[in-house]
Amino acid sequence: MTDNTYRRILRRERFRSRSASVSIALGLVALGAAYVAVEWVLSFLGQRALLMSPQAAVDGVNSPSVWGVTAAGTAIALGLVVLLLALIPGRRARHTLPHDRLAIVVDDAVLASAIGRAARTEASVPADRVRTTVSARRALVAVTPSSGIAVDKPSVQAATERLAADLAPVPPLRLAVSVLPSGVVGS
Amino acid sequence: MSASNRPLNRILLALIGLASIAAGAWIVLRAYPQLVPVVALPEIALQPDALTTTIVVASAVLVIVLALAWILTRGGGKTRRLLHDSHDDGSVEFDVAVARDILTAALQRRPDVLSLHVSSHTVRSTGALRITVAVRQGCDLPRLRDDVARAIEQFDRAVERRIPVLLHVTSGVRANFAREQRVA
Repeated sequence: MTDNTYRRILRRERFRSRSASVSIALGLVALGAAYVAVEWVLSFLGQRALLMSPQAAVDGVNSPSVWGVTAAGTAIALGLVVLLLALIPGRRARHTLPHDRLAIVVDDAVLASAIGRAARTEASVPADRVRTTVSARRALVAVTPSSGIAVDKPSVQAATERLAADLAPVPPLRLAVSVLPSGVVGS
Repeated sequence: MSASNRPLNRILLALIGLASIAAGAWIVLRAYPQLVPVVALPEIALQPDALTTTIVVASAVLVIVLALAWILTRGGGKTRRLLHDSHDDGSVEFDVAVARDILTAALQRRPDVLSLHVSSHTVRSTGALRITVAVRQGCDLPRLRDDVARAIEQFDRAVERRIPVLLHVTSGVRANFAREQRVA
């Protein structure tokens, strides 16, 4: 239907917006501008400066003291942080699922617990014995077997892969199932 | 699903960052003028007169107004009225509550759904739905997907068109405390 719209919606869901960062940065810029204007007006009226008069500021820039260099270093560091915020993609811990009617986005935690459920149903162990972690391109499933009852690793792998094939998350997940060598006594 | 322009956000951040780095680097370099010759600031600020004061105050006000305008126009695009049809003899409006009711009816019997939130937005000047579903741990995702798709088909028939629909499945804060449903 509206393929472009869906692509746009899903892209915006998978990556973080920088609106908050921009607002903070612009707020600081506005504060700086207000401060410069206030000092300038005070100097024009012949009043005492709040921190430093425009003349002192120009002198400080032209032949900086230790304080001036420290302030400049802080500005460089802050500028680097802001520049990195602009360049880093800011991926959220989410995957999208293809569908012909819906645009679907799923938190990685939900995906992990769904894969964990498929694994534990196949392995017949309680829920707290399966530990699943999902990152951008990999899902790790660690199964702790019950003592004396073997867990068939290939069948668990197949069960989780069946779910992954049904959901087909984007970016695709590589599944790795591991069965811990020592089991735990109990149900 | 907000309307804010993300590439512009990033361009603005990059510009602010570069300006800050440049200003800092310039002052640091001025500390060693014999090593790296960098131009000094002109002595315009020696005696602020009426003209320079006007210019400085005007530019500061401009910067502040632009910054505030940018900050206040972030987000947006959310609307209550999902669809609007105008005819010669009147108009039809669909509220977001139509979609909310259909989805609530479709999902209320699902044991692994903790909460459902439906909101409508304007995306590229058409109405769009955003469905946020918080689920318990171990949710049956394929079934949830198919249930929502079926409810949306019903919604499509009710409004006689297909609008963009986003389904967001989240674990939410409550899911970490909620018990897992072991019989589904």
